[in-house]
Amino acid sequence: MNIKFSMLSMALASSFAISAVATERESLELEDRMVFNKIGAAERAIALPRFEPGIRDFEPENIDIFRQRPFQNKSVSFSFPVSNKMAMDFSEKQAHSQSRQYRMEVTGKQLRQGIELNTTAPGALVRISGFNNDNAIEPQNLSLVVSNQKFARGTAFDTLVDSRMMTKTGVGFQRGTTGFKISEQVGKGAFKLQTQQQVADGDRYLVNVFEKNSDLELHLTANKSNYLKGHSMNIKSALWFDGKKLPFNALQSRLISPTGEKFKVLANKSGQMQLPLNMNASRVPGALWTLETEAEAMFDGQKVKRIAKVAFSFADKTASLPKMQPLVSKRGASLSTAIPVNVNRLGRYEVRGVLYGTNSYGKSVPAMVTHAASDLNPGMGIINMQFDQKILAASGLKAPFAIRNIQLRDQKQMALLEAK
Amino acid sequence: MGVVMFKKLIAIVFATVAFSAQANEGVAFVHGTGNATDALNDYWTSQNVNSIVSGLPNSSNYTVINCDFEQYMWDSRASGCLAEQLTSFINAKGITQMTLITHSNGANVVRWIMSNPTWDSRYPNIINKTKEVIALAPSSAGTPLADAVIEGNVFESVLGWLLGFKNNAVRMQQVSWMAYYNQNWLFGTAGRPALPKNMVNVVGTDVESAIWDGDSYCGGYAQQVGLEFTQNWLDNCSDGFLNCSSQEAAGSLWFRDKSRTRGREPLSHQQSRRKCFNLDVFLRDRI
Repeated sequence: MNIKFSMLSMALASSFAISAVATERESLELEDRMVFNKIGAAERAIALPRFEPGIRDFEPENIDIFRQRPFQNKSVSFSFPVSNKMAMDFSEKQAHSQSRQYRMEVTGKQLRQGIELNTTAPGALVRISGFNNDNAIEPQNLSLVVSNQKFARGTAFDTLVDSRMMTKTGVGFQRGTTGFKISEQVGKGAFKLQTQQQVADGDRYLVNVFEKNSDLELHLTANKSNYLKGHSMNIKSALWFDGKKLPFNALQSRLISPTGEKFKVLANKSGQMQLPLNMNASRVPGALWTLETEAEAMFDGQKVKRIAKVAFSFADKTASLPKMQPLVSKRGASLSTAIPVNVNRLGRYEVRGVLYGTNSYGKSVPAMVTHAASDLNPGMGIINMQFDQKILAASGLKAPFAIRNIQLRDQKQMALLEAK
Repeated sequence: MGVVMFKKLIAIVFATVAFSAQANEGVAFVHGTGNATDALNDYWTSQNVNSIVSGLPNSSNYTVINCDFEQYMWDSRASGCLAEQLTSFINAKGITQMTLITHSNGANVVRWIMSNPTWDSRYPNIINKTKEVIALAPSSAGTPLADAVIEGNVFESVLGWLLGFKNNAVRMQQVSWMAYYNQNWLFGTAGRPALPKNMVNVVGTDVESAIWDGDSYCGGYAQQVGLEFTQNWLDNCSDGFLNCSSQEAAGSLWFRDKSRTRGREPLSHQQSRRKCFNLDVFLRDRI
């Protein structure tokens, strides 16, 4: 059996269910078949960690919210001056990422026997992290076999960083992580990586391979980065090599919640995914969800892999803006507007907008960005937006005034709910 | 016309002098990722801080922030703690104008406050009292190293974040995460509204760790060697932790290290928070 396939299978079986690549027809039925808020038994075990005393990150949302934000019960309004020359773009953007790396999970026995390491460019960076971080695989004990030539004890590596040195990077790699850079002279292709270190058969390690110099990249593009429950997420994935698109041998994706829950996702052969997002919303306000995709293809007669991730927010739709356009009213020298908000859930909501005024040429130009927030009960609420008189006076702008680029945000969820 | 101009000039000069006379200026040092308890000694060094604050009219008008910046920037233990300590500093010293000197992720926490004034009723006063933010090697667009750390954390991939929980700040500084926050929650990057107060960046462009070079020892030699390895994940222009593009993603450029440092030495990520190559002098002269 191909050892690489074996390792890949083990890696995936341990944490995710393996899903076959969906056929074209299956992809058409994707929306009906996918149930995201159901977690398999193995995944459920991961999803429900026991909370250790003192770990505050995973406490229930409502408790954490009150502790996080004890000063937010006041209505607050604040304005920023903006220049007419300032280019502000409030349009919704795609979320995109590209990757030149992959990972695999291996055992101590496999490392002693030798694992296959496929690269597409010279100078690959390899890190090895032990699940038991007291038993690091030190790079000085590693050998690399290239075309039947064995480079013993790290001689095929340009840079070796042992576990002690790795901790001194201060970057935050977990204890027991080691790394090396394959010598550029050794080149690229299929290598066999073997340790001479005494490690137990059952010890488990994560091997990350980053190919900085490779032209092989996995691209992931989501249609936007803010989603509300019930929205549909459209993802395109493509494996490119030097401007050419490679067909996928295999493609597996999963959604990962801010608390580590994993949800299997199916893609069609061309790498497209349409995901109705109906998961139970995150309980960590502001933390993002991740869509992770693992792709495999044939290149130069060898199997190559890449893993890429895109991050996005996912929240409940707890409030909305009515369709009517709010009017800016003037009392004396002060300008304000009242923004109505349809509230579904008690919370703290914020509206943002750009105040436009009229310059001496009769042209409407931006004067300031204003944020205003209030605690609102369910039903129709109002957030009063007070515009800064000093900024307005300094701008020299006159009536007519208008409020544009209005956004509604839920500060409790830390979510952008609506923009118009 | 000339007389009018002259009068205006005189008025501006008088107003400036009067304002300066009334202003009570201070400096706050805001550390980067980490749960600091003694950032003065552990992070900035007192020698460095003392050198910088000697540029203040009253050199006792400074504070060194100690907060838990292992949390997300919006967490009360991060920005809430920062707001608390800045507010106490402003009130205790009667500060009217404050320069914030940040390092690394500290700039993100400050940008959070500057970009989200309605989040916390203490924020507007902090913004109003801030004269300028000097961001030393800010991680404004995150770092591929944060992705590598998260990617390589076996606990996260297998035990569902149980043991990888400690450093949400690292998770937040993944490149795609910071792209999201810059696009949706933070100001100061391209296409977004400007920050309410000026933020200028000092950018580290390289790491040097030659054992025979005494300059490599500024800030610690072992750290330099480690940063040389981590540079492999980064662009050719980086300080060992951050790409230059990330350091320049928000605010405006003050200077890139070699354009001003003594001997045109680069500032690695750990050197940009230390008394290295006259950086303290540039800061002292600016505050």
